[in-house]
Amino acid sequence: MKESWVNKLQRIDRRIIYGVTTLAVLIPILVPFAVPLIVTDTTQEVYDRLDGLEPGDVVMFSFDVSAGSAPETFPISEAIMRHLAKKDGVKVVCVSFAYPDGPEWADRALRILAEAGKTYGVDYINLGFRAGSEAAVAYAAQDMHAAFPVDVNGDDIKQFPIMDYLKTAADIHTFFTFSSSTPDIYVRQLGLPYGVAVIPGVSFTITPVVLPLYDSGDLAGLLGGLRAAAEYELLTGVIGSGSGAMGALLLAHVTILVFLVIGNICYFIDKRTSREEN
Amino acid sequence: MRYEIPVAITFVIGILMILGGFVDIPVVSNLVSEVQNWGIIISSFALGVGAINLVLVHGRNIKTGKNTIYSLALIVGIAVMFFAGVAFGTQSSTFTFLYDSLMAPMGAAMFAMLAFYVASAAYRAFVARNLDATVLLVTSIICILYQTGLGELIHPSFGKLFFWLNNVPNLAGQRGLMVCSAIGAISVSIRILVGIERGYLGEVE
Repeated sequence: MKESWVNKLQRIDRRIIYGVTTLAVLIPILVPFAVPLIVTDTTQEVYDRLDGLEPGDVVMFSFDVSAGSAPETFPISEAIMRHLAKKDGVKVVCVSFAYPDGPEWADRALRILAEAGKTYGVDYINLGFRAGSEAAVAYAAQDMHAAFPVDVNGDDIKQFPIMDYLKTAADIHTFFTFSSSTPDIYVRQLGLPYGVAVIPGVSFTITPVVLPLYDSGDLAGLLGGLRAAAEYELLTGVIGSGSGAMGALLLAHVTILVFLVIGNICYFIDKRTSREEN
Repeated sequence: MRYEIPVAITFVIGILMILGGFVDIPVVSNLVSEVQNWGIIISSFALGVGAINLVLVHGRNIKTGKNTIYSLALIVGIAVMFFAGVAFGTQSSTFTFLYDSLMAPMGAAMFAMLAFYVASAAYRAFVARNLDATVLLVTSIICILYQTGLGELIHPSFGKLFFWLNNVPNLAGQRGLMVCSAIGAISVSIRILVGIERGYLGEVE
């Protein structure tokens, strides 16, 4: 019996699917194009908050990213860093509580401040990774100098003027965590006891899980996925990796949508044919 | 005594940590702070123990000839990164080069593989077989359209539909989950504190 075109389509070689997906990701990287976006209220809220920072305000970043999740969350941190590079006197402190990779990503993001003429130890610092997860966050919240006696290079933090602005969590104006998991430990250890404004920059798949914390007011903002990075870049007026990767994200997802539609059409035609035959 | 002493330690430390969250007495706060510091030290050691364990397990694999090539790659990778970090420092250009040129792209590549599996699964398996699957399918299409910016091209108010989905049905479900897991965590904590739950001590029921 001759195989129908529906059956042929349903049993299509997976290498064809992989090939089409590869092209969908590659083409926008080789030939970049702009994706029109409307800035959402959640991104605007974070931007307005940082735009209102005063000299001496401390913004802390926890780079809880691994190499795997960084392509989605790291562009958010870059966009925020570009915004902070324009602010005078704001103190930027980077740490990592989740992965030993964190300081590497912090260094990459801090290059933006260095290129903007900011001084290490005065305007920004990288304190490195501290193991212990929630216990480490709680300990650092009580006494930053005890939890981080040296910076990422092993230098005594007492020599850096920036650390005069940061003794306990109560000195933090805004705390960012870039991660592919939920920010509940920071809400528990920084937000609730010290009133720190916690804002997560998370991968898009995590946003529905984080939303209850944002909705209840435990989070001061929420930046989800590559789109949030692209929106933030629109606000700062500096196009970076977030907007650059949106083309690949768009075309890859359109491909998945097309696959979904074809797969469903084939399923329903096949179902109807089987019913008619019976 | 094999279980009694660890259970007693767990009970005392657990009660101390709970007290620290509710009362503001300097002695208690100082003790809590000290215990948290111990926690950080123990976690740092645990990272080291984890690395040693990995080397032992994969060393055994190489000895027995089981997945030799993968185990060898892992041990060589650990050794190279370890010596680069110790010899040149983790802020050195050598270590940064290794991380930026090997670790980061390989990690991203592992994550990126998902795109191919999702594309294949979307084509073959993600079909509207019943009501549940149809709801899931429609929701995922709305999320994709929003995240890529395509939704707003279709209609400027498309975002409202996405946010309604997130803020009403999703939020209700997530809150239920959060409350249930919190209650579960409290009951497990009580069981551990009073010594009923001893799985963490290696006891098999």
